[in-house]
Amino acid sequence: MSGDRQGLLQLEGLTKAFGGLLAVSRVSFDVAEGEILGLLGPNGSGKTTLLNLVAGALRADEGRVRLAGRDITSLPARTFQLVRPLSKLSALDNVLVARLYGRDAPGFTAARRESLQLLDVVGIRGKADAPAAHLTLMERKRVEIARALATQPRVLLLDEPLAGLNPTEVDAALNIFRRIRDSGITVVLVEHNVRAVRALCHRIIVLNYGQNVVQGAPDDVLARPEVIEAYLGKASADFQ
Amino acid sequence: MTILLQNAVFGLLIGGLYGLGAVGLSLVFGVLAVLNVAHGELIMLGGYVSVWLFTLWRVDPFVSVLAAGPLLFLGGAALFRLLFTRLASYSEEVRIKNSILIGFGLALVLQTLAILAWGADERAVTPSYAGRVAAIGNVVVPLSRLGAMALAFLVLGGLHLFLTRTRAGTALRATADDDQAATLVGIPIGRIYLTAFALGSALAGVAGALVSVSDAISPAIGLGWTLKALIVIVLGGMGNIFGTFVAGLFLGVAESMSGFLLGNAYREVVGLVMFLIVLSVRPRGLFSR
Amino acid sequence: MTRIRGAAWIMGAFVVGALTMLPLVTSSRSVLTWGFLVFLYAALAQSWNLLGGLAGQVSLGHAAFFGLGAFVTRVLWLGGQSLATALAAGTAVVIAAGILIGAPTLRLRGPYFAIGTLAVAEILRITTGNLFPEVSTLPARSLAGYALAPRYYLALGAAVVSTLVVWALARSRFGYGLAAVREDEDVAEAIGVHVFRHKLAVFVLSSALAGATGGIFGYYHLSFYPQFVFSPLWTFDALLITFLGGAGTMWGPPLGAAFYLLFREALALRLVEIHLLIFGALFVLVVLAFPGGLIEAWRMFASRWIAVRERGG
Repeated sequence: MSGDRQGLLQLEGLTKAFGGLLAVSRVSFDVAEGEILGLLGPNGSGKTTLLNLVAGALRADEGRVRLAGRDITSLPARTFQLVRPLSKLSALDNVLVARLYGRDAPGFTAARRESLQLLDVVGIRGKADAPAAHLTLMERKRVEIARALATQPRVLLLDEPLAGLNPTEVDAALNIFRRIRDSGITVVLVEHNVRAVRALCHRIIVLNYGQNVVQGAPDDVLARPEVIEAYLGKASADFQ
Repeated sequence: MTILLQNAVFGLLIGGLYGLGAVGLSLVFGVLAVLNVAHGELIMLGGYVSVWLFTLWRVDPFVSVLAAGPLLFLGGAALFRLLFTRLASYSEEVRIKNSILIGFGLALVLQTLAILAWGADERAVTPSYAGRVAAIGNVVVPLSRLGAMALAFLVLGGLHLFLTRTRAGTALRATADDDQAATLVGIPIGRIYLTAFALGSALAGVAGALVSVSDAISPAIGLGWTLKALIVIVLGGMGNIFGTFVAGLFLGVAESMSGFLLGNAYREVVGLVMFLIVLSVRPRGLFSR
Repeated sequence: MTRIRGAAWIMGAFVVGALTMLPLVTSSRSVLTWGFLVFLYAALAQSWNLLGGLAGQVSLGHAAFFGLGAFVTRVLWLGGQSLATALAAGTAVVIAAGILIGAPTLRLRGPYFAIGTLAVAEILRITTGNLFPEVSTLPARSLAGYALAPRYYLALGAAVVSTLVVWALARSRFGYGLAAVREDEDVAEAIGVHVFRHKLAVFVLSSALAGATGGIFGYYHLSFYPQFVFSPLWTFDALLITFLGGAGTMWGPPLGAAFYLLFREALALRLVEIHLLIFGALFVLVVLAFPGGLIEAWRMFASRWIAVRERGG
């Protein structure tokens, strides 16, 4: 997918060490526009660190991050991370404030309309007026996702959005993510849930010990023996 | 030169009370994350305990300290139960914000109560030794102020011993450091909160009684004392009794000197300006938790 | 909900219309004075509400801006400037002071902002008292032509304008940014809200309104010590009224002001101080138990009433 075409997001030899521990080591890959890229790997494999490097929350020791060709390696934190909702504001207002301050923000009325549409996409339009504090965990996650989309990021970085959900809720969340995928947005997704990754991603990169181990189409990658080995004993049940 | 020295001595003597006035507020803020802006009103009440006992039975203000401390301890415990217990469940930020609002209302209530009870005028105690001085060279030392300062120093020393050498004091310090960890090791945190607030109020009461030894008491003095206590805490560092005492002395001398150099009307302003300067250099305060 | 809001608007317009007529039908000093004070306090509380209610920045130094506006306006006006010039200049000085004071204090977080603003206000109060110890009294020529009606209309205008500002802000991008700042500064920054700029802008706006309200007071009051307009009681009144009515709401401050002055006048007949005692206790009670204030209580009542009626019809 990323062959000769220049990716929207390009990582070149990203390296980050904490003390003596090499968390991310010379990781390079491109993310094409409209692609959903999954980052897999056992705990401590450097997925979240890598995401933070891309987001600018951490500074890389070596390497470059480019967005649409522009070097953004040392710019301040720029990308939306999933953060806690503003608990006293309604679900709609949470999304609306993000839309008003997001990229290419429209006027107030249009922003409100778009925010309602986003609540529709994540399936909680019915709770638009409820304060975020009164929502369930699943509903709050939906608000967070709608809010992340409302800022209209060039690339949406999602760090384990399914964590803490039960199987039924995971199914519901997958439906939402499929709709988001179909809207053509570019996503980098860190997720433990292999089933979800298989269902959503165009391409998968597996990290281990901070290094880029394998990449390719989900079904191919997940069939590779070294990938199964890296996960064996930990999450092998997820493979079925 | 003598005048400067004289002013420095006056500043030191009043500064000891500033330290004592601040340490209760510092204790409450450190342990509970409650900023009781009515602390100055508690000092004012301590002063009235002394004025009252003197007016009724000619009780010496140094003796009244023994009444003002326990009375304010009980009063503080009651105020805590009534007003501040509910705050314990909030996050630290909300707790501090709401405690400021509650303290603001409480200050008004206490001040008005004092006006209704004792009138708005200044009241003073006049023990027989009022006005007696010791002279060291050309420098005059009022004995009553010297006594108040010595007692303030003793009380602070006692507090230090309590916090470092007793079980309850250790629990208090542990709670100030990390209340969740304190809960985990089995410290009854609700009781610690209550104790800290009552103890902080008692310290205010003692300070107030000592203030009455040589200064007049009126219902309006509360805000000034709250501000002084906050200045001292910011200058001296949080949870540091010795630092608080030294900062109190420093503020006393600075006020006294600036009163001498700029005119008495500006002595209060100097402390506030120092306070703002320190805060703007360290936006979370010297006593950031 | 929409129905309640619509009704409130119609009621609000009706009330303002009626209040505009009031000086035409009565010349009773006590009625007009009472009206003037309600508007003055409503405008002052509303200006605090902008900063404390909408943006969540609890300032304890609001008296500084009220006092500065009152003092500068009065000095210029008594010095022979036209009232409009004096008010404009007073407000301009307050805006400048708002920037100067806001820029450093807004960098302080949590309690330090509250204490820092209180310290600034006290510095101003003490310094003003030292520099201008003389009581400021209207000269005989002003007293001879003193009319209450223009003061009344000015205060009414200030109350309406400040309320409309709150209304407009609450449905603007800026207002939503302030709400995000109030709830969680880190999240606000992550969404793309420039937190400091928002805080400074609303601080200056709030100060300007407080300053203009102070200017009207300086034009109204017959004689006062310059120190008096910087008294922390002005801050307290603004907080009290805002919380009583409902912090962060549009109708809360005017409602709270009417309630406050009604009771203050009624109680003052018996004992001057007692209203402070009662309202101090009431304020603590509201902060502890009814953070939504009167407005919230009214909404609950209204929505229940509608529910009952709809079930019945």
